[in-house]
Amino acid sequence: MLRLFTLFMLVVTLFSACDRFDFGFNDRNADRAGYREVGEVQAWVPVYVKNDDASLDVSVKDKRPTEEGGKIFALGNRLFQVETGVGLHIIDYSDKTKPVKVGFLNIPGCQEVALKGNSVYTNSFEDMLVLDLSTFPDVKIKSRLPNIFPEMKYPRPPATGTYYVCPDVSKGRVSHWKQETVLNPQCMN
Amino acid sequence: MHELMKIRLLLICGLVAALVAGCAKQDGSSPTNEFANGSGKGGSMARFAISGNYLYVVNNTSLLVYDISNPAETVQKSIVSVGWQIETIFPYDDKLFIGSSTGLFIYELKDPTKPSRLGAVAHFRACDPVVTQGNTAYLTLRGNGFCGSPNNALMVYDVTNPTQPVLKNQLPLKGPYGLGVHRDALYVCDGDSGMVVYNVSRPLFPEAIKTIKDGSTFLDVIPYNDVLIVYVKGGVRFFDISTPLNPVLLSEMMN
Repeated sequence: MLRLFTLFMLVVTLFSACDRFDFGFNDRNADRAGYREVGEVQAWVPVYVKNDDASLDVSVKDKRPTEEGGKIFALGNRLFQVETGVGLHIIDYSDKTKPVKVGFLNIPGCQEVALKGNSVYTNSFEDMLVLDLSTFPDVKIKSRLPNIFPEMKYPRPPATGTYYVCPDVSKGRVSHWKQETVLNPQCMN
Repeated sequence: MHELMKIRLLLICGLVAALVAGCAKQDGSSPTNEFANGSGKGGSMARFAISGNYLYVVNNTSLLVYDISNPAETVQKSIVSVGWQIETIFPYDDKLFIGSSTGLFIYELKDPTKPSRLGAVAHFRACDPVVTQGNTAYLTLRGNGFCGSPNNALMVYDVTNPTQPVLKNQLPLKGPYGLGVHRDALYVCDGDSGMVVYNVSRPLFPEAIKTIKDGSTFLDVIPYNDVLIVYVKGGVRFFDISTPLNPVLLSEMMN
């Protein structure tokens, strides 16, 4: 029930932040009777990606540090780990005492991963993606199945009972959340 | 036990043979490819499960079935309505174990394109990954945060009759996430409190042997070819589990 409510609130927040109202969130919150002066607190801050499906480019990028490591899937000597909301780390652990990262796939909204043969099954927000690794490091999107995970359309802050900065849709789509010290965050879940 | 291993081995052999045969038909498959054939293994908190030529996907409410026998095409075969707040799926033998925040659902795959529900059990509201070995299903319940009640536990179900899973045991935990079972060992990620290793030589009566604690937050495990791949907050650790009850840290990949 609480989850539903939070989701509902988030959707409401997102809709009410629609561009045509033509004012920024901070101004609006400052004007609002319910504005909260909570001071400097730890809060979840939305990280945005451009809301442009055409920009989806899953090509192999240089390895990168793990920040918010997510789910894992092992196949042979390869381990894939989700970087929550950002993509997939590819780890080679042929030498189990010295695993190495061999690349990173850039997939906005990524949370899930599974592998079979040369196929990677993953998601970009609500869409399921099938990637083809057969010509690795040249990675192709084999298919994109829309709206398989409706609940992943708007990633929520990863914890309850915490403040978060209300998302501003004019800045793009929220891919994931980062914890930072923020002055007067106006949303709470 | 031996009988079961033999059957599994046979199955694996059959699978490999099938794959090799499948490959032979495709001229394009290069022998130098770095990615292994066959399917791998995911953690217990996954929304994807691969069983044979089929991919099973759970979203919040439904189980979706895809035929992936032809790598060029992902063909949807069916959608099965399961419930709500579905979170995890775990394939075992010819069954699927599906965890939701209100209960556990067991589906059988006699027709792999049309999973049918065998049984279900309700539990208190919590997040609940599930794994299975033999006739026992292990399930962790985390009640913190999003997931409802303040209860945290390892639940042990006898699923000899999958139409009527029976709760046999309930052990307290602090705030568990994923879990994995390998031979006589059950590994349970208990968040900040470490990874608990249970002896499950008596499957319905897990006995805590030790807790591996190193300051990190343990989230999920994959026992895979005598290696335990552990997903901790911020990265991955590799443990040798050739002696299942005594995992030995091999390496880590934290950034």
